[in-house]
Amino acid sequence: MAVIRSGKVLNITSTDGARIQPPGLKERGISFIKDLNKGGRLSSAAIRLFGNLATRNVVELDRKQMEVYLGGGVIEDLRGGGDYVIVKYKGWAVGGGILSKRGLIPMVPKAVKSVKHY
Amino acid sequence: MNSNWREVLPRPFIKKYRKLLGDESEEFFSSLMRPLRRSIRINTLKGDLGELVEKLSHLSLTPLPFYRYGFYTDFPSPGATLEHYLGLYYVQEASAMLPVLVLDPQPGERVLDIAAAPGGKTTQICQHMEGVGVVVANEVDQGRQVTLRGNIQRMGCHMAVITGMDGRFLRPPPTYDRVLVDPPCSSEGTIRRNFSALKGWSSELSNRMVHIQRGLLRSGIEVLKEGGVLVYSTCTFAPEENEGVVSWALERFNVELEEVRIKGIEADEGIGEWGGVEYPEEVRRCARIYPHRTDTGGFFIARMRKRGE
Ligand SMILES: C[S@@+](CC[C@H](N)C(=O)[O-])C[C@H]1O[C@@H](n2cnc3c(N)ncnc32)[C@H](O)[C@@H]1O
Repeated sequence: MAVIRSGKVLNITSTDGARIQPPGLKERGISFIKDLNKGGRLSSAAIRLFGNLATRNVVELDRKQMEVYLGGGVIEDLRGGGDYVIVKYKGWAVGGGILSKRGLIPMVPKAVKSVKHY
Repeated sequence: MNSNWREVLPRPFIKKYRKLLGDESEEFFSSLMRPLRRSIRINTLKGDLGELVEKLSHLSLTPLPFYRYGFYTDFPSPGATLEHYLGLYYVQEASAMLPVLVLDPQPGERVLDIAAAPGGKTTQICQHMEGVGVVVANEVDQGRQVTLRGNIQRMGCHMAVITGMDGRFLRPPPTYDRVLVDPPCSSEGTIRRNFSALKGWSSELSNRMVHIQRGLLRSGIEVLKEGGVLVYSTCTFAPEENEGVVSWALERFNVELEEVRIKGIEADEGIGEWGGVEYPEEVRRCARIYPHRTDTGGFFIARMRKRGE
């Protein structure tokens, strides 16, 4: 596996994915770390791929909290000092979030809105 | 959607496929009126097949007879589950899983998918290659590149590389061990999923499609290594877009057709003549998938190998 930087993002790809030079190149592999300029955070794709292995900085949601999370709302009963955490539901790493003083702020792509059955 | 085909299908369509299928045509037309069974492909880039099948048991899965990663599901909206969002599976029509099976990509290879969005077959190729090697997923339409990217990310295909070329203008050096050419087509094979495929249908549609299909196939052959394998597939029944395009390539390029037979599915061979044009005998090695035989959508699949100089 290879890690490559493009601007504020680190992507992961295969060794040959990093090497090949096809015309019209748009993107290699999948995003891994985003917002490198702000210290970096694991991307949602990376969380869905590797997040199940995480044991630290993990928050497990119940069904009610998951409903708020999927809807993009702040989960007020989970608070913290601004740490970026991996959010799990039923043992699955589903995305990221910031544990702020206001509550857990979801950091997930818009596609999460398609989830109706969980 | 269980309508009378006489009221739904355009007259020239009926005439064309009566001519092609003869006695079987009524059975064929009726099959187009029956809704498709929903199917999914389980993504082994996200876990072990057995474990994933177990975790997805609430989708009431029935294995497809011809593909170990493919399953029918009775779940009404498989695209709206958490497991779908997590990339544990891709909602893919059963017959649309066949071209990659025929392409048979191997770990460590360089593979090009020349017309890739939304990425059903790209992500399937990555799965077969077990994350080792590279899959170049090319798509000219910027809007569709966004969907392609979303699916690559969701399915965890880190070995995929996205390019945005007009695929007709790719030229040597020959870089790829395998190439998939799954070009735009008249989509007659998707009528069961959605009658909208009939909206833009006309007798001339296929002739318009042929130009872009030839252009993409030509490029695919040019960037394929000697000895490499190319699969040309469409989701249409139209001979002009299928055997016609393949015959055109056989006449011009140093490629030969290989037999396409898939265990567990009843495929017809390619046809030998259409509209007064005789196709080369070897075109019979292609496969036609008809819904009245297989209870799937429709597909055409050709497998070519590039000869050495
Ligand atoms: C039949 S679809 C491909 C489906 C895809 N293989 C899958 O399984 O998800 C054909 C695609 O070709 C794209 N396309 C059309 N003209 C193209 C061109 N000249 N170069 C590259 N892609 C093209 C279309 O935008 C469309 O996304």
